[in-house]
Amino acid sequence: MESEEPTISEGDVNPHEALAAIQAARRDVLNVVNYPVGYDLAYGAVCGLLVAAHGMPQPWYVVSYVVALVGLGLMVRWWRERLGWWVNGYSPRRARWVAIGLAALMIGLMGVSMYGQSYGPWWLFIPTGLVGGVAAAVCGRVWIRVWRRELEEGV
Amino acid sequence: MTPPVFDAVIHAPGRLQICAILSSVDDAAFSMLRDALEVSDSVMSKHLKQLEDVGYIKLTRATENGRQRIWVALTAAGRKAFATHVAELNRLAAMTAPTKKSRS
Repeated sequence: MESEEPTISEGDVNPHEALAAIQAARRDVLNVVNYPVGYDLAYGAVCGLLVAAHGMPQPWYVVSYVVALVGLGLMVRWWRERLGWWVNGYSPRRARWVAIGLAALMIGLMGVSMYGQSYGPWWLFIPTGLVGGVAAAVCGRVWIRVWRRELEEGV
Repeated sequence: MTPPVFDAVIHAPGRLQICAILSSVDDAAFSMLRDALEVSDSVMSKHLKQLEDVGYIKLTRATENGRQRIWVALTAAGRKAFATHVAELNRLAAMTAPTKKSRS
């Protein structure tokens, strides 16, 4: 037998308590973002590979792209299994700018990789891949930090 | 601009916290929400049914590693309803002084 919930009217509401409850729920669950440094390294490796792939000759371009995309998919799956939630980098209002900045940098580096492939030097994809990888690993942690602050200030 | 609106469905204890969490993410696992609220499966299911019945959430069932997992996400209507509800709470809070209890 289901028990009836009491009807809540606006007059019964303590808004301060309600706002505090919202903050607490977000803080207790989403602020405990405990993931290993290995995740950042893996993310950096995958992003670095995506950048470098654009400077590689065939078939390595395709192989690298596929490996990187599969890697990204596995990482998303791991995160969802481990933490039980997911937020894409472009959803939060403030943190999205970190994602946009990283995407802009990555696109620029891909362009440089492609330039190296077309006009030389052939090895240009190596430093662009490294820079892209390091930037991605760092930006991942920066994104989390900005997002957590956004959650704390958000209500 | 949508005016602040109090939403009794969202405001109920339990569902307010569920919506608070879901509003911050794209989706969340049923098990994570249940553990966060420290309630039983049946209580969580009841809360989610209430939210689903008014179109505020959608449930997705996925099979992962041989077991079924339920993922919960706010719909666009749910996000809007939660945002206007929080706006109303902020409006009410601005009109009243905080009590000592709310500081804990």
